Amino acid sequence: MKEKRFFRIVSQEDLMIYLDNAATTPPMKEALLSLQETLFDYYANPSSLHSAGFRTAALREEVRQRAADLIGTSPGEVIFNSGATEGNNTVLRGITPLLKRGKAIALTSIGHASVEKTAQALEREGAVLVRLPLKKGGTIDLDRLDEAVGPSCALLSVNAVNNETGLIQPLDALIRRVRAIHPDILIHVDAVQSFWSPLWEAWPALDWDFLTLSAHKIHALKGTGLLIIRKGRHLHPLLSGGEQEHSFRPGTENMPGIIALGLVLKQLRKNRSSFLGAIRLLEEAFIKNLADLGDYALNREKGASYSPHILSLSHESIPGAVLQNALSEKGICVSTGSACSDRDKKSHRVLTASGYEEKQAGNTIRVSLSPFNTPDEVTALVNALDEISQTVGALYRRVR
Amino acid sequence: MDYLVSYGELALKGKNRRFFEKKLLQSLKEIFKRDKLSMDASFLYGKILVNSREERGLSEEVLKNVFGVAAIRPVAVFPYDYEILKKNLIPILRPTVEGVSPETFRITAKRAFKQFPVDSMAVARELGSLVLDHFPELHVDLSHPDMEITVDIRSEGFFVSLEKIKGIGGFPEGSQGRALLLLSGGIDSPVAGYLAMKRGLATDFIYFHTPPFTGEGALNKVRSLAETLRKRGSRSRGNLYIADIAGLQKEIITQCKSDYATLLLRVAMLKTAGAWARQQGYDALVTGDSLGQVASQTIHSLAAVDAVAEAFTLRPLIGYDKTEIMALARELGTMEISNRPFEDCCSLFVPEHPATRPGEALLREESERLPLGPYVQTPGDFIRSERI
Repeated sequence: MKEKRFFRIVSQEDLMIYLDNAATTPPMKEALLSLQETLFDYYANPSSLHSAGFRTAALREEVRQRAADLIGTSPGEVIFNSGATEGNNTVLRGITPLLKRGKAIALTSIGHASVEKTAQALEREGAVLVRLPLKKGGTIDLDRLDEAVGPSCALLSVNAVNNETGLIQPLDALIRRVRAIHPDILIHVDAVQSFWSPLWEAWPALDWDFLTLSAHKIHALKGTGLLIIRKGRHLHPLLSGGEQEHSFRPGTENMPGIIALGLVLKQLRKNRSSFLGAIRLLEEAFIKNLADLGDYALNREKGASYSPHILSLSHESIPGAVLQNALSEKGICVSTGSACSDRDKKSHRVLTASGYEEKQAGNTIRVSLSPFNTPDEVTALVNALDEISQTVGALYRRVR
Repeated sequence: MDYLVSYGELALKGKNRRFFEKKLLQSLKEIFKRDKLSMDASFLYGKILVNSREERGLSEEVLKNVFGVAAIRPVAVFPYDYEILKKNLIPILRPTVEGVSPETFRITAKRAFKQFPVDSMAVARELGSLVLDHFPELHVDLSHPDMEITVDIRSEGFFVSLEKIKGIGGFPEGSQGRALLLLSGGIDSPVAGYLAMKRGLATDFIYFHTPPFTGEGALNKVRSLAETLRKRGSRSRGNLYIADIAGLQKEIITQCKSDYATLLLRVAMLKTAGAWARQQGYDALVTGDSLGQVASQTIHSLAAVDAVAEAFTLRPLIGYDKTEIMALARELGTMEISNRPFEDCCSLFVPEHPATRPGEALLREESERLPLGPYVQTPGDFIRSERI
């Protein structure tokens, strides 16, 4: 049967514009071309006490050093794990003995599902949750901080850069205020989306205790993450077993993922400022052209700051799912929110908790950029958004 | 293990009986082949004999769920020699008598082969006393026995069974004709399709895709539903037709009265599906409507839509409650697929005040504003077909 234009399904040969880099990023090709070769050489178990094992262990330590350098911490504080979901679970569940003594977790309502759902599970197990007050847009309201954070809080967990809106929390001021109220509170930062924000340079100076990161969000591979535990802090491990990762994270290391991360980190370190410059140019162009369309609003608040790689926008009348479908038909990949919760029916938790109306939240898509996107791709997106607003939007304007 | 498969309702169908029997045998053979089962089926006057080298639980599960099967009996088969039967009856009863410890029994003899010299009552009496001799703890109870020993006397041999397992019933797939199910991503339509299949309709599927209001996710959900349903029957392959009526939907939204939008969309779907059904030789459309469930399923709405759409439409769920439909959907395994979160095309443009007592004349008038012509004359232009 002949192909009909209604059913164009985008295949790899077709033009595809990938603008969903907050969900995951394309692996960095030039960095990973050498991965295959390395894999065949470094297959020994890094815990084995023979020359092949030592060699693999040395390579792993090299990557650990590189990661520590990039974050501004020491290698002894870096734990390799499977990703940020594991990292976030490890931190929240790792303080269970404190929670059993009646201590509370302070957190926002706009965290990633791996923090939110874990906290809710702990609450069902008897832990106390206190919610940090937010201003419209999701910025933590520092003036009302002492309403929530008190001596009973064992842990403060905060998402450095919101994965749906790109909002950057004022972590410097937040941490100083929190420490002033409660010097011993443990502070966890979910830093998964922070790489393209100014916070990335601030990690060495900020007084956090735990930091969680994911490799596939910065052009390395899925299944690899980093948990940084500041010296002197203690967490109960999730798993028991061998003595890998300072006895903290048992299980034979995911060497392919670790080696890939090492290769990518090298490139990122070298090119961060030029990559960041490229993203900022794309961001600027997109914001400017979007403003000309008129029907779309960028979900950014005055006075708040945003990572340049995440742009949340809402159409005045078209639901986000329809926008996503319409873009997808044109080969443009964006998401309606967090890919981790896209499949929850009517899930606009983060946006509504950030103070947006249900309708605006429902009409939202998230565009997320990488340094490998091009100005042409952004232009194509804006043109597509314009066309969709005129064709599909006309129908919605008619109905509502 | 061997099984005697009986088909109750089919046997009543007089001259057509042979046709139904053939269809059932064909269904069984197709399933065995499709699911790579080491089983075979053959005719035995008035019954079908299935020989299975599969494990017993699996064999029974497969056989009792074939449309048209009224009951199955696991049987021990003996050659046509009364003496051999008498010699072997006790050993085959022993595991059951010792395992289940029944207190009472009866023997039911059926003489399908009338040339057999002893009448069925005499066979029952004689075998009964044989049983009593060997198992003195048992008593005869003709009305409520703990164990019923059935002996089928046929020219092919003696078939002894201790157990009757109820089958799913209905008619063999395809024996009543072909139907086209309007499959949405919802809970109801797959259940309606199943009931149509159970009554003997070989059922294919049509889905109305309205991009960008529905996406690939919704389409994948429908693919899973169609496949799950198709596997309930005997066919190795079925057809999923994906029809695009986005063009009509746009017209409905822009040109027609908003309280009639849902009904007009249904008219558009039924007209398109009806035209396709006529072209492709389907005998009926099937939908998941249940009376009164939503505004478009009131008796007035259904009547008006039917009158305007002019497509012969079966609605097997018409008298079902939502809870009954959901229970059946869970049993079929379609519930968890239907619950996957993607908007189906009906839920996106629901008018705020939908008509519940639409006038047929007004609905017809509104439908005449739609460019339905091409959809009715050449529905194939809007339909893409997939094998599932």
